[in-house]
Amino acid sequence: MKHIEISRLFASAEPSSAMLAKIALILSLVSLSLGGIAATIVGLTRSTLAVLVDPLGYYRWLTVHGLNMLILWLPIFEVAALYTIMSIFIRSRPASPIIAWIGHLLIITGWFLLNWSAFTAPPVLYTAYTPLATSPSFYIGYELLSVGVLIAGSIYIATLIKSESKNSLIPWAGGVAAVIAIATALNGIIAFLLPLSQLLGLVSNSNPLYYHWIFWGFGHDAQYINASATVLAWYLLLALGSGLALLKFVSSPLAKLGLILLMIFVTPGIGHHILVDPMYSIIFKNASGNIGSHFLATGSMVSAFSILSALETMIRSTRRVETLFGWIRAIPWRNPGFAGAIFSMILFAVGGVSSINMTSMPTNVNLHNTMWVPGHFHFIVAGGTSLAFMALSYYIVPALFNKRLYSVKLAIAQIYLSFIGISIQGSSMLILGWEGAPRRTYLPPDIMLQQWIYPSIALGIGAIIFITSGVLYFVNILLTILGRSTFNIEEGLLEDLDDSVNRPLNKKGSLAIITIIFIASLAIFIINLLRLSLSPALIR
Amino acid sequence: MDRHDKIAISMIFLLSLLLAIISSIWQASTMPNIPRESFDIDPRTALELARGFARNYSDGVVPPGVDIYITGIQWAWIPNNIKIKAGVTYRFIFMSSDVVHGLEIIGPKGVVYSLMVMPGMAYVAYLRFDEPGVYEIRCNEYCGIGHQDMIGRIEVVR
Repeated sequence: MKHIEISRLFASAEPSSAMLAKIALILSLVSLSLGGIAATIVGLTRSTLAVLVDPLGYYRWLTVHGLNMLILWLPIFEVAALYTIMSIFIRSRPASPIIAWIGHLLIITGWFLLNWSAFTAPPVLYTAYTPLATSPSFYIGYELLSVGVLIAGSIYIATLIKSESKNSLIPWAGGVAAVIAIATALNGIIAFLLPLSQLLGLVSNSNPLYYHWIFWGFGHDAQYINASATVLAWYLLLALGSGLALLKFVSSPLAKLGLILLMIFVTPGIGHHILVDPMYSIIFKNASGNIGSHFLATGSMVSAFSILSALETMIRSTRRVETLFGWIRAIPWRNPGFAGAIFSMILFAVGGVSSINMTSMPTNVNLHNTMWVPGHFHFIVAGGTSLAFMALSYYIVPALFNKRLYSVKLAIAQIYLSFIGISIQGSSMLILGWEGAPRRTYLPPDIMLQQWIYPSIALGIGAIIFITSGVLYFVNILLTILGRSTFNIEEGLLEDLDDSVNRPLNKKGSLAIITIIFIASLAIFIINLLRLSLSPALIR
Repeated sequence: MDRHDKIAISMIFLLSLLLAIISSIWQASTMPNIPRESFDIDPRTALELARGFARNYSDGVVPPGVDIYITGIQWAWIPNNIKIKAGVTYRFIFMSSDVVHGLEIIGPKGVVYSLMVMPGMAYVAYLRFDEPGVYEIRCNEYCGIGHQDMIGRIEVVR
């Protein structure tokens, strides 16, 4: 029954949007593999398990890693996800196919220019802070990519407005991701004009302060396309994994509130990137960095509660569980949809709690630009977002390519290994940051402080496990695409939940989890404040 | 939305509000914090001031009341080795002479004090180091391929 329902959903996909989705999907997967190769080189060198490159090589591969993982794999996968929703849930052609294809062409050209510059021009990392300069093709690549993403987001909104299904949750959530994508792309277009016009001799001097601010309007907003797309991926994973049963338990106003909050606070919240920059007034920093950024967390937390409580009520109403956390054990842990969504949510929550210490001024002084920062965002984007996207592609790739998933067991193995790997790696990074290790720095053993040596080795071990899981993922996806069997939703991908039984709704377990996050956030923040008495006192 | 939803939403907003309030109160105090004062400066002047300071105070403890200039250049801190007295408040001026650097002071117990220094701008901080020992200054913002070599020392003596 469920199988038929899901198969029918995928079978009625609209082909022209599906084609755009497929191209973006392939490009994003190429970025992921390139970023993964770079991760191997950077991770092994940084951990000193195998110092493979010299400083120039290290910064070059670090540029390739950051660029492909944060700027290419995630936003381009999101473009793929938007066209997939357009194809499967809205079942519509793009509002203007020609403009949509122009957008794709710009994204592809931008992709090549960016990667070509990253491999050949002087490395400036993906942030390219002025006055450090690199070849103009790098900034032009960024401009083209930004315009391409702007087009994809606008096409999605235009298609959504015309459609009849615009108020159902998944197309609507895609709309939020598209709005954030548009804001991001606009910031990107402005930010990269500054260094570009200076290189071309149009202006004599660009202020590093403005670039730093507007770049993060692009760089951090881009991570909020991720956040909204990750939330969307959680809904999709649990919905597909449960044969759409979950959607009956989602409170639509609560889900929409969570997404709206993400959208409202995303741009004001970028101020935490300039907390330790000179020149800005303390009042400005406090309003944007401190207050605005703390409220950034509300969107993902409300969304997390919305999803958890839907999951909890679904499990409670289909299986007999009475205790506060009994429903967690009753979750089908061997289903890629459920395991992927829940592991991703756990990692996202750890990353979220670790962010508290960076959005507040005093604790930012303590952790700014240390390894705490990559620790935080590896939990969020490598753990939370990438794991959710990888799990989701076990459902999307077979549907788009009309193939059967090669192996469900391999998929489950990948999800568990990824979870273990990124937990070890991310925790090691947080420890390194707490101990003061600077981020983005080539650190051979002779210039490492004593307390950084063991956490660095642990980082390498975690990275090796995570990269291994990435290889399993690629093997599975490649064998799926190259396979001969036609689409048929696999037994292990779908959980048959009998949702006809009605028991009273109970969300106490989810409320308890939010309480745990509440206490953990306050605790880690206060511990950090108390530890600050060891650093020099600012008298005036 | 039911009762549980409303409790969850209130808790989430309360958390953000609490964090914002605690850090706003903290930053009004003299606890470790972000400096409030900065001014425009020519990058060449920034370099000259730091070189002048390094010439005058390369040996011995910097006397209380003397301003301390520290400037980042690709790829070193100037001066890269100073001695100061514990428990005395000094006026530090942190600057950059070329690109964006990250000034990170790592204390003997691994606790960091970190600021961004940018060309054309100077940070003024009145700092008091209470804990004697060797503090390292490292660069924590990528500034070119010699970035990892920017290591300086502040020795805090009784």
